[in-house]
Amino acid sequence: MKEIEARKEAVSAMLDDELRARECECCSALIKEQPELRDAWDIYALIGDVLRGTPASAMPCSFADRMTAEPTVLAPRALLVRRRMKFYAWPAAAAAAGIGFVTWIFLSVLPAQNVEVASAKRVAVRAQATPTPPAAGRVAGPEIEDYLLAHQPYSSSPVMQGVAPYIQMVSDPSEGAKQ
Amino acid sequence: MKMWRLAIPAIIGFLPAGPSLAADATDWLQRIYSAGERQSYIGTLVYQQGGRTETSKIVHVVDAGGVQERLEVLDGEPREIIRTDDEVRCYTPSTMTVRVEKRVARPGFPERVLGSPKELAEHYRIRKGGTERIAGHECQMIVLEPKDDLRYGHRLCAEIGSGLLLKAQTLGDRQEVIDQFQFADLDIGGRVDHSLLATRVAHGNKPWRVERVEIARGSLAAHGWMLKDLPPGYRLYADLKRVQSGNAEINHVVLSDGLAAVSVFVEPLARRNPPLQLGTSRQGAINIFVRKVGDFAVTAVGEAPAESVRAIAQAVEHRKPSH
Repeated sequence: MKEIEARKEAVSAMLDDELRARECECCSALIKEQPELRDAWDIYALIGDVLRGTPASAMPCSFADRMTAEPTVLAPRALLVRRRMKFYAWPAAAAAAGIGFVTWIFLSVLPAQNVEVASAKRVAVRAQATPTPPAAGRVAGPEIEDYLLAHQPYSSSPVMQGVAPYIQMVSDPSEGAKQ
Repeated sequence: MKMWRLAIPAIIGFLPAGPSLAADATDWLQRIYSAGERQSYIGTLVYQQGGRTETSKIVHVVDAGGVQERLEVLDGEPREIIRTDDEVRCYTPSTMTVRVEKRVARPGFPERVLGSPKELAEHYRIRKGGTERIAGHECQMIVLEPKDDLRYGHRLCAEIGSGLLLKAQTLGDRQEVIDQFQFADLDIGGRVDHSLLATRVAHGNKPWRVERVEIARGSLAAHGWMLKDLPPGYRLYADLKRVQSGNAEINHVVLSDGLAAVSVFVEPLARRNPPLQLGTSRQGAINIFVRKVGDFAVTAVGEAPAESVRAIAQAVEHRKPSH
């Protein structure tokens, strides 16, 4: 355990150009051999990219898997609570804060994200429960859209003041495709 | 330790004296429904349904001019909705189309259905939950539990001072969350700059295609239709007609149990282009049922279980008009 930790430290140091050349070689070899260290390299590299503001083009597989395994939340605080860092043996708070920070920043540098959303630090949504889709039923296409719009003023859903229910009917193009 | 015990009475003295306002859960519901008429606000709203998330910016102004608001969808396909007391404009930049729905004979604001406490109590158990802090605001939870499976339940969280909803969930029969609205940030009250109500998507020199619809009081019966064997609890709430430029009228009735609302549209099947697909379908949390009656399409849409929506569509019958 301690050995792995020390090696991960070395990986981090390598990324930060803190290792001497020979140590680098040794470290590189180990990284190639051990999946845990490879993942650690990827994670550190990702953090580095993000901190430098260069959008990361790919998330390492294990990271992506762990992201999708969690409910969709954007709050670093929520991730702080939920992340199990056994894989990396980092001190819990630091690790979670790191990943949480990365997650939040990563999502905000994605091109699709609106600048308003990215810049408003206050936009930290803690979804109490992940909404699930209704059990069955074909997804209706755009031919029904005018009816949905006409229904919105009466929409109970629920009680949301004013224009808010209109969000419901903004159809997801991909939803129509996957019947 | 001794000091602690002395401090307790002092602490209790500082605690709020218990809910003096709107103690009753139904009173809370009334407050929630009218909160939008009393308060201006600006916020960022997150809508979640079936794994997808949609963020929108909302500007809501209440002043001598009435209620005006603008919603702009920030994720995915851009869309903007601007609403005043008698008009709703829906901008879709991807098709350069703006749909303008104008209420000719004003049914009044708000249109959203809220039945009397007695009516609601027939179909829902309404109770207060705990308090919750959302987007920096203290909120009271109100739970509406349906008494049967013909309607959905709701969990609402309203800001204690204003009654504005900060979070709202639609619940299925297994208490699963069907959809959820939640404000990520909300600034309540104060003067909201009217410039924030101006459209952000419709500028430039390119012309927008305008689709106009007029909404007026209608009469389903006068067109030879009637409602028979509606599911328990659902009654006729609104009877309207929609007139689109150049087209004939569409009948639009709203059925409700005092909270849930299902709209039924009746129009000639041939006029629908692209054509409607018959049977059951859904759009997010909204269930849809389309059936053919003679040459007409009868379409029911609403936030109610699929079976209720189907039963309501089936309740629309055509009788021979008396000449």
